[in-house]
Amino acid sequence: MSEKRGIRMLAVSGCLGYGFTETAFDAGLESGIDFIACDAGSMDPGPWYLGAGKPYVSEQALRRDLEIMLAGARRIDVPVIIGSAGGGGATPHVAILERLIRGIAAERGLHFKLAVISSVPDRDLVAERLKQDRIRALENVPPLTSETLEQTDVMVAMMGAEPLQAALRGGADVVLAGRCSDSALFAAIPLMQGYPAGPAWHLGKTIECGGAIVRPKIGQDCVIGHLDDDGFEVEPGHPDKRCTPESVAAHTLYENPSPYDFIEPSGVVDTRDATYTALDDRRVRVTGSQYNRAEKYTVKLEGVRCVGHRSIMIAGIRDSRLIEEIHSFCDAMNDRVVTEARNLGIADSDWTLTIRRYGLDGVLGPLEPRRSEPGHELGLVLDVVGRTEEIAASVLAKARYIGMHTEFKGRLSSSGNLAMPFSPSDISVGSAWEFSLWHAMELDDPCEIFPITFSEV
Amino acid sequence: MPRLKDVATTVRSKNAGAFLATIDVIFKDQTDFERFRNSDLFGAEKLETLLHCEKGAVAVIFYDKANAVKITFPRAASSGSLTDSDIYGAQYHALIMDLPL
Repeated sequence: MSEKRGIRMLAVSGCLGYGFTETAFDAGLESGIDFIACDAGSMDPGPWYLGAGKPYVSEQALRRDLEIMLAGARRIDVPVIIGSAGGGGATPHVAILERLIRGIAAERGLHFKLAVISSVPDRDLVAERLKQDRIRALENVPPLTSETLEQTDVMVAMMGAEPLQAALRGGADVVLAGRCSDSALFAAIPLMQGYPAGPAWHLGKTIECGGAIVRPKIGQDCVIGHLDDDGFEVEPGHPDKRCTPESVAAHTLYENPSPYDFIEPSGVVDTRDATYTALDDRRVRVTGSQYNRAEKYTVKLEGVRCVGHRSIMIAGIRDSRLIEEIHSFCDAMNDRVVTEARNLGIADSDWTLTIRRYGLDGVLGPLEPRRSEPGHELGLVLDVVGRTEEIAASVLAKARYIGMHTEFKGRLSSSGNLAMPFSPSDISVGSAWEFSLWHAMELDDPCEIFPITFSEV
Repeated sequence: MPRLKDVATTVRSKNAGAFLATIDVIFKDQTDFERFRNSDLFGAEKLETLLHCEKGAVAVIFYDKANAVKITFPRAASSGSLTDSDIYGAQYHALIMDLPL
């Protein structure tokens, strides 16, 4: 009986910079790996990182993970694919990773062909597609207007498998991609080799989060995926850890609106008929994953616009009378701040103040069912976003004074309402952003907006 | 008084993208899953009220393979927007974990 063909891949970590153990990595390599891949980004940490061009992990953590990955990959001469580089995957994010990669290569004497794939679409192209009605809002997102598009300061498009494949066909040993479908990082090579799409994509989806499917769940770590023509298998890199049918099946729930369907640029992965079987106490086999090709190839656009500058103040309240009156107190504060800002000549539309009340409804806000039940202590965060840094600072300073000295019913504490932990009390946080683009755009060709630059390192 | 948190092995929430949030409840075995899946806990109307959502806006999916119930709903404020208080959507599940069985 001829041996069944298979392809073996190593998911280094759920996110580059989150770390992994060298034990797991080495064990993974030792088991015979055809390629290594790692997701390096996400929009989970919110809009600021995309807008500001910064990663949400430290460069030190990135360097540590990259060094082990690159050195290992070159040692056994297999491709490395990194996607959503630098977190947001836009130009400055990718540049940071490219700099780190070149630095490591120089230090360690590593030589390879590098492909860098951009994911920042041309504005005119996006505007044109909008006019052609080829851009659709995702769930709960307002339809895109040309005004919103113009206001969007930074945007990326999430590439599928094809640009990665083009880079590999061009001879790349290391593929550094901007914003990219996490699963595509792992499905790209198997699809090139003709493995069935359902299992290839489902495997990618399963292992791209790295240690999420591994027990015990202590931090991030490597996961090994093995794909054949009938299904796939997963196991942890670390010999002391395990994957179980429950941990693998439960993963399809994670971060998804549906546990069954995953939308990729080229189609939808359907896991309804997937079965999860334990091969032993640490390995799981999955069969039955299906894939339905989409009629139109669409990529997800993500974009952010700057809404001003944020400055905050944190203070504690312990006065029992004030806590009793906290709702009317905050109303009074809000009214007084409006008056004082106007007295400074600042337009109402140039700032917002959000009074966050931890210990009451700071976490759940309007959803909090217990907002009439404060405890003995309250943590107040005065959150000002101003059109400029100066406006934010001015309004916050007024809000601070008002918070400290505003009267309320039953007040005995005539010398001050707030316990400030810090001097200075007012903290400039930085630019404030919001997601202005979260839409699907049709492409005529899967690679048309993802140019690749090759170089020898 | 027994509450959902006393019988579930997982009650968690996270964003499903920046504009939706999703709550997962995982029961310890099929028996508990079958026992509670049809309970009042996962009724559309009750969840719409709890989550301040319009009629039809909350999707409840029963995932037999993991003995899990998934509740997906629109975020009132997108992740990281001005008045948002939970960038990752990590604490929405608190709304259901204390519900009496």
